[in-house]
Amino acid sequence: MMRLDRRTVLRGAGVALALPLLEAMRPLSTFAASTTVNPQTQPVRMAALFFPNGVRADKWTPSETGEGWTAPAQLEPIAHLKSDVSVVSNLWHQATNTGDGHYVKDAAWLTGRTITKTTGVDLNSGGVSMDQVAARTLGQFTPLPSMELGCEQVTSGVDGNVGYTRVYGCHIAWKQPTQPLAKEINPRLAFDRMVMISNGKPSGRSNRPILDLVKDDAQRLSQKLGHNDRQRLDQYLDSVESLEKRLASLENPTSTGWKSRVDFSTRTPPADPTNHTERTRLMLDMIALAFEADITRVATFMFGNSVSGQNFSFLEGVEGSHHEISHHAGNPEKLAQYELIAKWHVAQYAYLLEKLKSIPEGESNVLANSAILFGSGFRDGNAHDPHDLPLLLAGQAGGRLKSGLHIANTKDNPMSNLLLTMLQATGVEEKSFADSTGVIEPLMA
Amino acid sequence: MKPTYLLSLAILFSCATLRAADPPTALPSSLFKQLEISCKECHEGEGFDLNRLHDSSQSFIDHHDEWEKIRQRIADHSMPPKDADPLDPAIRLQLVDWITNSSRQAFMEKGEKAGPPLFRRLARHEYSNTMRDLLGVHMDVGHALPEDAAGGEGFNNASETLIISPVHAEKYIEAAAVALDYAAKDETSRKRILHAFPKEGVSETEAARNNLKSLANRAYRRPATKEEVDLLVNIYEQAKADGLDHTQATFYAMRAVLVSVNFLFIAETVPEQPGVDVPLTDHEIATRLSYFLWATMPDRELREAADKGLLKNPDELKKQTLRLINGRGEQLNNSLTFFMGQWLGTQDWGRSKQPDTQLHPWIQDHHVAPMRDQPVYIMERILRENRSLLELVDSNWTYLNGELLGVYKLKKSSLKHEKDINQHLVSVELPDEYRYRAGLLGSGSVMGITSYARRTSPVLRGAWVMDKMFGIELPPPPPNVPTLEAGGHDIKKMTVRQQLEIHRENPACATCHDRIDPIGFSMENFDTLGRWRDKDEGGPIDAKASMADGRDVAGIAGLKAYILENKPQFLRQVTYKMLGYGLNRGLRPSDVCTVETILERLNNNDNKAQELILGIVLSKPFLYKTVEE
Repeated sequence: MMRLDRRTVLRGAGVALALPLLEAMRPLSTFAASTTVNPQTQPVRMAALFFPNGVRADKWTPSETGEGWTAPAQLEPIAHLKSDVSVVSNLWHQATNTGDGHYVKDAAWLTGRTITKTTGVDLNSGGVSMDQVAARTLGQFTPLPSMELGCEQVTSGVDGNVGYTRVYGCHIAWKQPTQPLAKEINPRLAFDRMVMISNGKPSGRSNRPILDLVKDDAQRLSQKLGHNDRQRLDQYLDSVESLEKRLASLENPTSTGWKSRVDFSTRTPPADPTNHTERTRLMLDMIALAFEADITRVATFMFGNSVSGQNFSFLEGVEGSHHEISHHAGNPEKLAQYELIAKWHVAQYAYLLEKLKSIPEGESNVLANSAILFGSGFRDGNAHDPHDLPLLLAGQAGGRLKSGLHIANTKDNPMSNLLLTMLQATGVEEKSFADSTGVIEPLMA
Repeated sequence: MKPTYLLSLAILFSCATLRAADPPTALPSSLFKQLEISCKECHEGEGFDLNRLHDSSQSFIDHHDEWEKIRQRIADHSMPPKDADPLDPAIRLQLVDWITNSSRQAFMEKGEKAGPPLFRRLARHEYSNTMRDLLGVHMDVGHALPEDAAGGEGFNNASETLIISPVHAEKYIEAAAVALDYAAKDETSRKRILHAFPKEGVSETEAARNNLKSLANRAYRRPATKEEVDLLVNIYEQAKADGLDHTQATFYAMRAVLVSVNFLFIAETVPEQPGVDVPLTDHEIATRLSYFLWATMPDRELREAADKGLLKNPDELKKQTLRLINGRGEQLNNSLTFFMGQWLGTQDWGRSKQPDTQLHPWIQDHHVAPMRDQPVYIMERILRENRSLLELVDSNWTYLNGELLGVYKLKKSSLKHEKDINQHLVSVELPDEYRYRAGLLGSGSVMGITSYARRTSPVLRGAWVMDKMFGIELPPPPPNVPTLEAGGHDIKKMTVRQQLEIHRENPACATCHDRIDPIGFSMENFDTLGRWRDKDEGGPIDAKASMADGRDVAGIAGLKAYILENKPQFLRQVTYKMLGYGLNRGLRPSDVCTVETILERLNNNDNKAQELILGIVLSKPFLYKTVEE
C-alpha cells in the first residue's frame, strides 16, 4: 500500500501548497507516520506489568547466567516459557534510593526519576514514563496511543506517616510529570471501549462539533487562569483534542487505513469476575485483545497499588494480605507465604505470555512481536530495598530482542538501560532515557 | 516544594493538653540553643545556614519552609545523622513541639487569610450527583469515569489531585449522551429540561435558546453569558441544518453544556490585583457551600439566593447553611460518606480492605456495608441535632440495623425499641453493657481496617488513633530493625503483646511504640471485625495499658476517657479535616488562625457540631480568595 510521505509532499509541491496540505493531513498523521519498516502493517508492542511489595529476595535470581538458567522457586511458573523470557538482574533506579519505602520506588518504576514529596500540591513524578515516551511514536498507528489497566481501585487518602499522596502509589504511567494516567480496573468497560473503537463511525450525529465548542470555551477560560490551573485545563483540552482526532479518523477510515484486526462480534464480553485471579486474568485478556486488534501497542498494568493490602489467603498456604506478609521480618513462615504470593504474580505473567503466544500473526505470533516487562519497584519488601530489582522481559519485539537469557549485570546498573532497550527494540528512536547509560547490548538481536 | 500543609499533622501528643498560644514546656531559648548545639556544626555557611534563623515570630513566618524542614527532619529521625552526637529522645520531641507551636503562634498573630481561587474539576461522585440533580436522571452517570485519588487533607475533592487523564473527555461525552437519552425518554426528567416550546410567537430557535440558556445557567452554577448561549444555539442550528428535528437538535446541543469546562470545572474568577483578599461572588459562595455539604450543585433555593445577591449577608448565609444541614434529602449523608470515609479510612472497609472470607465464610456485603456506614450516620445525627462533636468519641447511642445485631452478637432483648431495628440503620440507645459500641471506635469498620486479615494489630490501631483522632505525625519505622528471632527470641511461644514488649526494649523503636502500642492494647477486646471478645487463642484479653505519659488506661472505656481528657487535640483534628474538606485543598500555615478561631467558637458553644460548619462557612478562607504577589 502506498502512503503519502510528508517529505515527498513538501518536495513535490511548493511550500505554498504544502501548508494547507499538511493541515489536511492532520488526521492522517495521528495514525500513520513514515519510517523505514512499515510499522503500520507490522506492529511491535510493549507492555509493562507492575506488581507491588517486592519478592522473596533469596529465591528470585537464577544462579546461572546466559542461556542455561534454571528457574528458582518464584520463577517456576515461567520455566516452560524460558526461551521467551529473560531475567535481568542487578538493575535499579538510583533516583529512588531516597524518600519513603513505597511511593518513591513505585511511581518511578517507569520514569527513573524522583517524585516530589507532597500530599498533593506540586504533584510531580520528575519525568515522563517510558510507556508514554513509546506512545508518542507507537501511538501514531493505533486509535489509542496507550492503555492503562489495573486490578485494584485507587487507594484513598494521603499517607500521613510518610507525607505522600497515594496518587503516587496508584499510577505508573505518567504522560507528563504532572499528569499520571488513570487506569481502567473494570474488564467489561475496557472491552466495551474497544468494541466501540473497532466499530468505527458511531451511529447518530458526530460529537465533533461539540468538541469544537468545548475548545472555544476552554480557551476563553484559560486566559483568566494562573499557571498551574491553566496546565490542568490544558490537560482537559488535550484530552478533548485527542478524542476529536480519533473521532475524525474513525469516521473516515480510508484516511488512516486502520481497521480492527479482530472481529469483535465473535468475542464474548468478560463476565463479572468472582475472584482475584479471575479478575486479574480478565484484565490481562484485555491487553492481549488490544494488541491482537491493534487498538493500542502500548499497555501498562498494575496488579495492585503500592502498599497493596490485597488478601492472598485464597492461595493454599497463605494467610494474610500482601503488604502485611511482605514485612516478613525474616520469619520463615512468612517468607514462605511471601514466596507463594510472588509466584502467583509470575504465574499470571506466564498466563499473559501464553495467551499472546497463542495468537498467530503472519508467520509468527503476537508475543514474538512484543516486549513485555514484568517487575516491582523494590526487591525485598521487608527492607524496601531498591537494589537489584526483580525484572523479567519477554518477547522478541519483532526480532529485535533476544530472549531466554539471564543477564547478570554488575551491581547497580540503571534500570533505565532496560527501559531504553525496550524503547529501541520496539522502534522508538530514543537515544537515552532518564539516567540511562546505553542499551543492554546482550538483549539486542 | 511547599511542605507547609504538614503543619496540620504536626501537633504532638506530648503537648496535647496545651492550647495553641500556651508556652511550650521547655524554655524556647534553651531549645533554640539546643538546635544550634546539635546542628550548627554542619549547618552553617554554605548550603543550609542555621544562622539565617532566629527564635522570633518573624523568623517562623519568613523562613517557614526551612523551619518546617528542620521539624520534619528531627521528627523522622533523619537528623542529626547517625555519626553525629545522638539527640536525647525527650529533647527531640520537645524540639518538634516547640517548632510546631512557635510556628502556629506566629501565624496566629497574622490573622485569618484567604486562599487561592478555586479551580478544579468535579470529583467523580460530585459529577454523578450533579448530573442527577441537573437532569433529574436517577442513574450513576459517572460510573465509568476513573476513580479519583486524594490529596490535601486526604480527600478526593482536593483541587491538587483532581487530575485529568486523556480518557476523561471520552467518558464525559459518552456519559452526557447516555444521560440525555435517558432524560429524553423519562417524562419527569424531560419536563425539567424542556420547558419552552415553539408556538405562535415563539420560534423553534427561541424555544431552543430558552431551554439551553436555563440548562446552562444551572449547569454553570452562574448565569451563562450571552456569548456562551449564542454558541450553544449555534450548535443547535447546525444540527438542525444537518437534518435533526427541533427536539433532537436541542438535546444534541445540550451535550455541549455537559462537556463544557464551565460545567465540569469549578472555576472561580481570579482576582486581578495580587495580595488582596477579594470576596467570592454570591454564586461562588453558593457553589462552595453546596459541594461542601451536599457534594452536588446548588439547589433552586440556594441558586435564587445567589441570584438575588443575598449570600454575602452572614445571616442569610447562616440560614442557608443550616437549611442544607437540616434538609430532608440524602445529600448531607452522601457528602459525609466521603468526609468520614476518607478522614477515618473506613471507606476502604469491604473494598480495598476486605474481611477474610475464609476466617468468616458467612460474611457478605450486606454485613460490611452497614459497618462502613456507621460512622457516617453517627456524624449525620450529631450535625443535624447539633450535638457535641465529642459524641464522636463517646455517647450512649449508635446506629444499628438487623444485620449488625447479628454481626456484633448483640442481644435484641437488651435494647430498647428493638422492633424498630430492621434493614435500615437506626439510632439505638445503648444500655451500659453495650456502651463500648458508642462512638466511632464502636464501629466494626474502624476495627476492621486496623486489623490484619487474620489477627488484630495493636500497632495499626494505636497508630490509627494517633493519626486519625489526634492528627499526630508518626515517622516511618527506622530501617534495619533486627528481627525478634535475631535477638534470640522464640516468637512462636509469645503473644503479640509480649512480642511488642520486647520490640520496645530497642530504644530506636520505643520512642514511637511507647506511644502507639498502649493505645492499641486498650482496644484488644475488639476482634478483626470489631466484635467483642473476652479471650483470644492466647487466653484472656488483657486490655490494660500504660500510656506514654504514665496514665493507666483500662480497655476501650479507658481509652475513650483518655481521648476526652485530650479533647482540644481531638477537636483541632476534626476542625483541620473538616476545613480541608470544605476548602477542597490542603491547609496552609496561614489557615492556622482560622482553625484556632473555629476552636474558640466550639469552645464557647459546648462543641456543638453546627458551630464547626458555621465557623468554616463564615471564615475568611471560605468566603474570600486571593492570588499571591
